[in-house]
Amino acid sequence: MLERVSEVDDRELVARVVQGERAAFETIYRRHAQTVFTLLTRLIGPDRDREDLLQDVFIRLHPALHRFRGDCSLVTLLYRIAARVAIDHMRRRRPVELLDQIEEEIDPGLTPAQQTTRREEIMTALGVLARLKPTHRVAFVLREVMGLPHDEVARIIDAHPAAARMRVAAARRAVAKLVAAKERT
Amino acid sequence: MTELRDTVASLDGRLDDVRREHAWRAVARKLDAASNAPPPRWPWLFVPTAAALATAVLLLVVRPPGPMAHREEPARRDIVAVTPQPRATEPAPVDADGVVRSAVAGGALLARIVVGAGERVEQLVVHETLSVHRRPGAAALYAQAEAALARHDASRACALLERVVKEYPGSALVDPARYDLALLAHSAGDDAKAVALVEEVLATGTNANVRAAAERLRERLAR
Repeated sequence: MLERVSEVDDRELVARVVQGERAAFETIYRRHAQTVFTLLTRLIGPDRDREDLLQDVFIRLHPALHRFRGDCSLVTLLYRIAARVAIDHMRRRRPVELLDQIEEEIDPGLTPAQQTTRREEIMTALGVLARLKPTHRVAFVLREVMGLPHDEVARIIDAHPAAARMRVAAARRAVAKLVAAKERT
Repeated sequence: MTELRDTVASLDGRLDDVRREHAWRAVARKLDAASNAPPPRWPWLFVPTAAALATAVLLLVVRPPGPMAHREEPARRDIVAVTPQPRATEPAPVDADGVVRSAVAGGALLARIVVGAGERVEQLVVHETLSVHRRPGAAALYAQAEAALARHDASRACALLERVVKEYPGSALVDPARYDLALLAHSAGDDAKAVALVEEVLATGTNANVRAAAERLRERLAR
């Protein structure tokens, strides 16, 4: 399988991190921080704790790189750690109102009516996701929102591919039921 | 379902430069702290350590009798009079019965209670609760600035960081605070101020990591 140039670069950076080079780890951070932050946003919404969770991901990544066998890409490893951090967060915290934090996801170029619609869409979507079990939420976002293939989802959630498919299917059914219930009200 | 998927997919979570830098420095600090932490003790020290800890807790809970334990509990007497005392500036002296005095400076004799007709005088010494306003240290101010940044409250963060620089000029947090102020100035569009702060860090800063970050910021500002 041909690797992208960035994957080869990531492997070299990982090797340098394992040798104790802090600058290589900083490069990994700068390269992937936004990707991880986007995933966290889609998993838990524009929560104020995302910056703390982002830090947690990279703090957990550092020792994990010393055990990394290269059996998946660095991005997959990052997603795996981010998913675990997000699940822990979802289990620890009670759902909070995200009204003021949603504003950063609203394009100020929209008309007021469009902004209101966008706000309502985000609140509805996050409200539905918040009703899912954390592990189902992660599986749903990875597969249905980010479009990752099932075997990649399986690697990220550290499950057998068949178990990953079942989890995604269960999440999809739960979301459909919640969306239908919302539409009836 | 499609609408929900599209809505969630549209959540990008923009990580601006300030938040990215702030998060990186927090990560670097925690990694440094972890690598400087003392090695874990050998597991077989756990048992005696736990036993010692349990003993200490028991001693705190079941305190041994103090020096006054030999005194008999005074029989209940009718309180004849309670005379409030004017606040004394000096702690009340210890009487022959060894009435406990306040160990805290400023403990004042607040009332003299006469029990029985001249039989015995109980002195009531009450600790005064002193409200001491302590100036927050540099680390506390910096932590408050980080919390303000996490809330996107840039003006509050700036005010706190400026206090770190002004009130604690010898602190190790001055370099990171100046650098943060430079980033915030750059985000607010005030590149002249950002350049001045970066130059200060490079001229006087001692923290190698912050100096390296300041070099990169200077290059970006120069473009």
